Amino acid sequence: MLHYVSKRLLEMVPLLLFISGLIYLLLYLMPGDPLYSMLEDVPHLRPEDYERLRKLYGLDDPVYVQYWKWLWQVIQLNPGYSREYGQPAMDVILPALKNTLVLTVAAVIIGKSIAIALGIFSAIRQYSLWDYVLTVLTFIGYCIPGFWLALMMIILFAVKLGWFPTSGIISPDVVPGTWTATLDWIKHLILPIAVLAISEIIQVQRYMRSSLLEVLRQDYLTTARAKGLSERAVVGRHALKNALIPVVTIIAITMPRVIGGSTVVETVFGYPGIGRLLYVSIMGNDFVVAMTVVMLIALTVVAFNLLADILYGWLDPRIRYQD
Amino acid sequence: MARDKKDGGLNRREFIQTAGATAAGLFLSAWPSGKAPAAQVAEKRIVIVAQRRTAGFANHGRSDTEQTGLVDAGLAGQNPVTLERFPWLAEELPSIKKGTWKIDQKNKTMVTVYRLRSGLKWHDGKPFTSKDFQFGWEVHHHPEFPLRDRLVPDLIEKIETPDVRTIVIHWKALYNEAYAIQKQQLRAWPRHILEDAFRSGNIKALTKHPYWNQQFVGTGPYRLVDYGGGTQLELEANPYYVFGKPKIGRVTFRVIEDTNTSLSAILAGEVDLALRNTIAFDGAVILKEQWQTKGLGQVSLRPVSHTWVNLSGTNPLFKDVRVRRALLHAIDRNALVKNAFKGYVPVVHFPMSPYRKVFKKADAAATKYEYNPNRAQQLLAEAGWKPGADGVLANEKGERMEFEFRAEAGRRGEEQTQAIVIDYWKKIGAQCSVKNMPGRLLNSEEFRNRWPGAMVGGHNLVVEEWAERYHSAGTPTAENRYSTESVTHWNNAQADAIMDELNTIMPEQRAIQLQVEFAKLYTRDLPHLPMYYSPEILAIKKGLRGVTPRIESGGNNMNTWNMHAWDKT
Repeated sequence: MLHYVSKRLLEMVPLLLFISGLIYLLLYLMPGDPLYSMLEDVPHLRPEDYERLRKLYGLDDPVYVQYWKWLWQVIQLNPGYSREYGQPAMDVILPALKNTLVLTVAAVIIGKSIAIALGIFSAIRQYSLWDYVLTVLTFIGYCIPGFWLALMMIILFAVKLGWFPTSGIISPDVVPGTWTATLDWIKHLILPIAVLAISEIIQVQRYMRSSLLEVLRQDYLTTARAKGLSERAVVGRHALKNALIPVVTIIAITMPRVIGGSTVVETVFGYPGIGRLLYVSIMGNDFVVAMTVVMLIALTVVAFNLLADILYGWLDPRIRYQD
Repeated sequence: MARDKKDGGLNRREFIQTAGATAAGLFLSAWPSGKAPAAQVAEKRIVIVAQRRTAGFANHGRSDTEQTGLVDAGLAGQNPVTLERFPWLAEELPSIKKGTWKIDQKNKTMVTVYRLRSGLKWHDGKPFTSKDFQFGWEVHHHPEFPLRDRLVPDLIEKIETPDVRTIVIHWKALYNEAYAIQKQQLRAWPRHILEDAFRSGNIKALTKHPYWNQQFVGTGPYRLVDYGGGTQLELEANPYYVFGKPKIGRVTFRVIEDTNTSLSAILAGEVDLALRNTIAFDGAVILKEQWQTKGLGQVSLRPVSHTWVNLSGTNPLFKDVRVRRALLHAIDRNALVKNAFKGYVPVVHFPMSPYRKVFKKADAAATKYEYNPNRAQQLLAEAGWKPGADGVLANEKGERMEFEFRAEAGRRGEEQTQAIVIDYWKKIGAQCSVKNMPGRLLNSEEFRNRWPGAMVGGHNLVVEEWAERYHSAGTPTAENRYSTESVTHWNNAQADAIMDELNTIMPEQRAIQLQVEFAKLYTRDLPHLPMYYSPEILAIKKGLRGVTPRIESGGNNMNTWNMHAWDKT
């Protein structure tokens, strides 16, 4: 297993290099001019000023030189300086990443737990009233755009009822480091977590239901029932683990969202996370930040694929990796 | 049943425990931190929201005039309501009468003398002296410093500081704004913080110094407590501020990019002031009807800029001024603003704020193009354009009045205007095809500042910036990478001469005369087809007093210029 993991880790290096080169090129080819947006309100701007700034910011270098400069800095574990934020890139990325992780990890844990529970419930009560209700709700959920749901929740719970703040991460009038601040922070998190969790529930609940239904029809479960095991034992001890295998794949595929955040939800809730950061940096042609965030997401995709493969072995003893 | 441990791996229970502990650690590590402002709990506090993020408070990189104006001051400032300059850090503005502004017309050089107010201090309590201003010029003048606007630093020959309060500026050329240098043109930087970094010669490192944002120390009414990544500034009243400590003790300056989110925050009562179009026009109407009428606050819709339709300066279809006039006569702009903007927005005839002193005279001199489709058709016929069998205008050469019409995709007001104008033009036989693109694309070198047919856009009303917008010398070309803004291709020697003269030093009466003349020429030639004034939307919550919405946009005019005098009840 160790040899298998090491081999996969080594394979990741050229893959990530290829991804980084490709993404850098794509970002470079995107239309836009980072200087132009920076200079839009500057009166008396002369063409020579424009040329001088292009040179000073290294925007006149050919794309491969710019890419190499970026890569060299990344190798030295310093991705560079954000032109859009006026700070070292990691000083911008790390707080945003931390904020996003809190949001998405909570949403994933809550959402996926509820989804798995509801999926099991639907499967073991197939064609019951509750199964139909859940199916209808899921399809309604599929049809509702995330931003609209977020806005509706803001209007209902923040504007009309005043239970939660509309946006942001902390209220201005609380003293940081106190329990009031913690409570305030949790209040800020509830609505965005709820919106993200609902999306998680919708995505996973149907997979869990169909996967468990598939497993419940297997012969070995008929045997287990014939042996006199209770339905709870049949489902909990024998069916669930096998039913989880495809769900793990789905979860692994969606996990990069945990790092990548949700641009829409973060924008609507004015939440300073990585999704919004990525959007802003791409729109502002801030290659340093955009590239670092995209590479973080790429790394997560590759890492979670590896993790999923390892988890298969844990969930299904029949799967073994050859050294 | 827990899985047995194998090969030192985790069993399910351990896995869950570890995952739980990691999640809890992550949750706690993200606990918002900051400096505890225990002493300020009882202070008056306001929340301001804006849409534009800042990357700092310097004159290089991305910054915003409102945020910068809260934390820093200049030698002079500008009242955004009267547009008069006032001495800010300076005791008084240099004047020719008092001999503190000397002009050598023969050699085209000048000297201005600024005297600083006594007892000036930086936010950190260190004395602010004339040497700091001289140092600021040295930094801005350095060729490797990526300053956005080098006009003023480059016009200065040298700066002398005979004592800690006196700044003597020697100018290489004549400059009509030399008597009122504002912070975005040139300002002081704290030598006690930046001088070592500057003298080390590593200018690149200096431009990335945390001073410019996270550790900013200025002279403005508020000092920075927490930078909040530029999206949530925490500010506290500056006890050393030149006009006295502000009445409102704490300010939170939040950036909310989504207009719906801002609207919700205002309706929920979380915001005291929403600046500069943080809410969209539709949102402003909602606020007017549902919020202002209940006495919860006030919505200001000041016409600070204007929207135009431009007909390509390089397209031969529009060379004849009669065609441009006809196309303007064909649009019912009054109906347009009534329907699309519920009458909150007035029609514009030339690029000048209606609040300017000279406006009435200029307005009287300007030609007006009222809605008159018959006159439009008559003018088109005079220019050789007659409707063909399919109703589309054609001339003797067989050319048809068909052209592309661009707007920035996603800008609802402009797209709406485009649709309405197209409809009006169709009625007189002009056929347009829509080609809208996102701002990113419109601002790219490939597309910016030029279009083959028509384009709806807008800009500010600042008379002092007319030259950038209308002077033939600023025409965008391949040589200047289409970076200049005189998009109209207006080539009128008389207008150029007016703009040149307006940038020189002259008596007020002459300036008025020139501006009136410009309005006359503009409305005669129609370099743009002026549509309507564009409002700047401000939402001011009940209880906040002292806010004076600006009459013009532009970097010199801040809505927060007098924040030290604001109060909250």
